[in-house]
Amino acid sequence: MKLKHLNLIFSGMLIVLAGIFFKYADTFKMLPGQADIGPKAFPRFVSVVIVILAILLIITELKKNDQTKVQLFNLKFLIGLVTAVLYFLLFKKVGFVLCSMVSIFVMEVLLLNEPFKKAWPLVTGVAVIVPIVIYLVFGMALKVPLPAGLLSFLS
Amino acid sequence: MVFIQSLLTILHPSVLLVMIIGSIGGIVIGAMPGLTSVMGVTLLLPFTYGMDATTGMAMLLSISFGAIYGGSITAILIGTPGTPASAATMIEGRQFAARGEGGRALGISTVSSWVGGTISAIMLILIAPQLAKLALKFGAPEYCTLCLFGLTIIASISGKSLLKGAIAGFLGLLISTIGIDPMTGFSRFAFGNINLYSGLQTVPLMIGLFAISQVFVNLKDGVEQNVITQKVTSILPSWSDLKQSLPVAIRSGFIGTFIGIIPAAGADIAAFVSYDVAKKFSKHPEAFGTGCIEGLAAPEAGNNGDTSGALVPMLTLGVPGDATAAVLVGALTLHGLQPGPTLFTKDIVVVNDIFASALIANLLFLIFGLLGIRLFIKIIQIKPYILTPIIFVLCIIGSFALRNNIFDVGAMLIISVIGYFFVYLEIPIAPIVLALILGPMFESNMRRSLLLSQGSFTIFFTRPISLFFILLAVISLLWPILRKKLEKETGASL
Repeated sequence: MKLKHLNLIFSGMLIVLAGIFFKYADTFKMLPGQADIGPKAFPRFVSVVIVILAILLIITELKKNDQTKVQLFNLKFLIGLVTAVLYFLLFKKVGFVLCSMVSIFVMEVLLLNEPFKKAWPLVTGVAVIVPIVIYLVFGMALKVPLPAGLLSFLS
Repeated sequence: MVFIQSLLTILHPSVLLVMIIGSIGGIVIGAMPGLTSVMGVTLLLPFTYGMDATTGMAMLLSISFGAIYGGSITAILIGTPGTPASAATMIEGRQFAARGEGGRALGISTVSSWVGGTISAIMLILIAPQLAKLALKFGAPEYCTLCLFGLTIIASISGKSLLKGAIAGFLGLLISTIGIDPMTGFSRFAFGNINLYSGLQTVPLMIGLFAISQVFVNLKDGVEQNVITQKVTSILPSWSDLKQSLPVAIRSGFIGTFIGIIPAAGADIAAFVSYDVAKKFSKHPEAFGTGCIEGLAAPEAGNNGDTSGALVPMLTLGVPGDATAAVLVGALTLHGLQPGPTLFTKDIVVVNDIFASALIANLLFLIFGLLGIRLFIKIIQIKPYILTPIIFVLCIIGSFALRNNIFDVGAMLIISVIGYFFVYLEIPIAPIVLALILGPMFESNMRRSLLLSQGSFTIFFTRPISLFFILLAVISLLWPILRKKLEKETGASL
């Protein structure tokens, strides 16, 4: 995708976002005596400025004759993104340790710049041990409860 | 003298050992993205229950000072601020690391942090009550214009494009309005979602924007290019590095102390203001952003300068100078002490103990920071395909641990995807964070001021301190133009 188009799409989204915030401010409850600068004032002011800045960005991008292209997605990124989303969705049910083990393993493989045949002991070892260590440190030492999920039968 | 007695108390092995553990723990907590200094102090506060007041406060101070320093380690080596206070350090720090000079940057940042922290501690000891009187004069108009001045710094951290920096800043301001309206108490922009009632949490937001977005970039592009060997010739900065960084560090230490004294203005603001001032007074402002020593030393001295400054109003008035100081108020009350003027009469020994521990706590992170440089670099040189996924998991925990709420993790992930696009759009992140921090303070104090003045804006101009900040804001915005004019007229570089 051309960088120019990316910037233009971004400017469009900014205008839409600012518009949503501006309109939604209508729903704000007011207290008497707050008429001049109430809860709506500041967000609306900021929304207006964002629209102005977005228009400025559109103008500057259209004036430039920049043809640079950027590659936004590739398979690795998409797999990583799906992993992250699944992690989030399954975090409570499946639990921290299992989710982390799988995610770490997947991400290590995606990032691997050595042959898998050589690296797999380290990759698997880290994927298994690190989540357990983190779980123990956070759960016991720092008292941050992480969901046990499917492994709750162990506690 | 009472102070000498306190110094001896603190140097006693039993107290010193606890402080050493606290300092190392603090550095580690500060280094981990998602764990903040406040969190560290809060989590370990209950453990001090069994200790006496002096030991407990000494440990908490070691943790907090170490954590504020520790954030710089990841800011420099991984390009992710370990704590919000190191967001400004990251600007220059990551450039040093990209050149393989991470070790040098760590040395400079450690010494600068120590300079800033020690200046702050000495100021605390010398003039605590006098400084607190000044902070008492701060009302809503002064806070509002201080934030305004802070927001003008966005121009300084915008990097290449001022327009994109401004967009980032105003986006941050817009997001900061999500949450409870400071004056009416009603929720704004929650869009019906209960998790948004109190707004977006700053920490998951920062983790998403800084850290996870980078994880996604790494996944897409691979991390071969990130494996840069950091050479470490000696852990102490070279004499020429010291000569360049010390004046800036000293000045930033004073700036940080002053900002620390102002209640609610914290280490992150201190870091950015110090960075901005350093850039404005630098002989080579164009070097800022490319990895320059002054730009590295300034925020590090500034954020550690804030640490003891924040204790000034906390001890003398019971009003905390920043979030960590607020937790320390809790620590004092836990031990049966009442922060405020009576502390200086009834419990002057404890006060002196706190003064002494502030000095020693700064020394501790200096020692362990410098000793640890080679270790930190080794950790960073763990194979990148192992480090990146671990960072991912730690960031998830960091977002989750705040409110024990999975929503924050989800929000963090969405924001990280946005942050990923921002990398390609060249939208700078630092202005977003700055605006997020300052926005609420600015708006609430502006509305409060206008209520006081019954709608008149003159209130900002008739109060001297407020007017002072407005002038600072104007100068800050016009500085690039002013500077060129002055240079032309005097025919010399400033």
